[in-house]
Amino acid sequence: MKLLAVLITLILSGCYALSNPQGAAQSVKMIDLKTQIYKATCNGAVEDWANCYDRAKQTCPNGYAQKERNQSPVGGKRELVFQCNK
Amino acid sequence: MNKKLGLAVAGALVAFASTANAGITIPAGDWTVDIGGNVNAYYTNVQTDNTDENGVTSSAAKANTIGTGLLPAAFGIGAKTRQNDLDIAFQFSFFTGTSSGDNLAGGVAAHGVGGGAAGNNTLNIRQAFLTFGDASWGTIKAGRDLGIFGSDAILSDMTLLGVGTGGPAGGSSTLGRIGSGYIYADWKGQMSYTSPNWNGFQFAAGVMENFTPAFTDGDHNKKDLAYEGKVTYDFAANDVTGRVWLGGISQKTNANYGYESYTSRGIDVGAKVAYQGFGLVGYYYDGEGLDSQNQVAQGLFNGNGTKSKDSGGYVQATFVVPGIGTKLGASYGLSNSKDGATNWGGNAFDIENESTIVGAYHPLTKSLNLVAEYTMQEVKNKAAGSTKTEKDTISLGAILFF
Repeated sequence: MKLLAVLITLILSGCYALSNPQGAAQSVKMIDLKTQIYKATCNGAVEDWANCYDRAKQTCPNGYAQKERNQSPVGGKRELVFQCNK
Repeated sequence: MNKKLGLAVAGALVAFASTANAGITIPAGDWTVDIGGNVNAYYTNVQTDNTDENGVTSSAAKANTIGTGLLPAAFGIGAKTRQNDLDIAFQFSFFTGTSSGDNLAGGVAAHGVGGGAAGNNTLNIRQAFLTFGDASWGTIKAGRDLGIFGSDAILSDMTLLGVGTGGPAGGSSTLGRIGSGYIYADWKGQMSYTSPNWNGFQFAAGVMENFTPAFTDGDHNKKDLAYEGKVTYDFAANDVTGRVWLGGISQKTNANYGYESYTSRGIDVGAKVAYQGFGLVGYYYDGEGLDSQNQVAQGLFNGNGTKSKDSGGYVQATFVVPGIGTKLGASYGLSNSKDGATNWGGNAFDIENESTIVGAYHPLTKSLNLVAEYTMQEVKNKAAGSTKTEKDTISLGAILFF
């Protein structure tokens, strides 16, 4: 248990030192300005679908409708296509 | 004039934002080409202890290797367009390993050296499929892609982009939780249908090419196809998001030369929930004639050539440390597979494959993650005295996805 605590402390210290001040969060892409359709990505080992849904929520103050949810294991790819409510 | 200029500027900004935020997306006439994939490499240290039927334990030499984790390095290229009121698309994905390769196959050491330019890091094209459909009535897929049964289990596994069990790394893949928590969905020739999304509810069903037992080549035939399906429900209510799913598989294995034919059947159920940086996954499967623990690599579907009794599942908890962004995770999984002496080799087996995995996943940039994992695995065959194999695996590495 002590070893685990030491390992977690070391890992978090290392990760803190490697924290990127420019941020590592993935982005939202506008697909269609007229219809207010966007694509959020949450790829990789750290982010997950919750991050995509958070981005959709932040992008659309009046809520959104999910259009597509695409996942591929090829690169840990996750994409959420959504349309903002008017 | 000013209004037109304003619209042009707005359009240019949107176009710029699109290209700046996308992966690698290339407009090509009526088509949009999408290039994606990953490169990963892990150092793994594996300590193996074997206990024989008399309870005597011996340690194998430690193995230190560098290579890909559960997910091979991959380069995928696909494209989509819309023609005659149909969305049409294709995808090819090329997988390979990042180790030196192994030219010692068959016990013949080329120049007495393992690996090197003569190594066997071959190209494996796991995806080659087309799709067509429309948001109003769904999508049809034809070609080779990930199977349906068990797909959400592997896609929810935190070790998918790490190492998990099955080390040492080498060749093109470790096993993550395959066979120690779930059955491998695998890459199957298929024709499948995915429904439209009705407020989060969706289903997929398909016919797959029959997977015959791996070690009885020629003694079983492909008379029947396999059938797979699943229903899913995705929800995003306030700060709680997640998915629940229910799946099934059925495949008849037809034996030649008077051997026994049998039908593999399985069901699985799972749930994945996230709340403010916390994530939980719970998964369970049960069935007959599913797993290959006894004869070929753990977790591969129907390799034993017998109607074994199979069950298993895993639980997983993750937490993203605020400010630092590192995801910490822990999971426990178990797969059971047993059979009397009716399998192809005529040996009874009762295998319990369990593992505990802890991991740290750090986003160095939005496309590059650093990964550290520690895996403790124990595989017991209760039908063969107290024989067991224990493996402790430390893995450190990085994965870049694009």
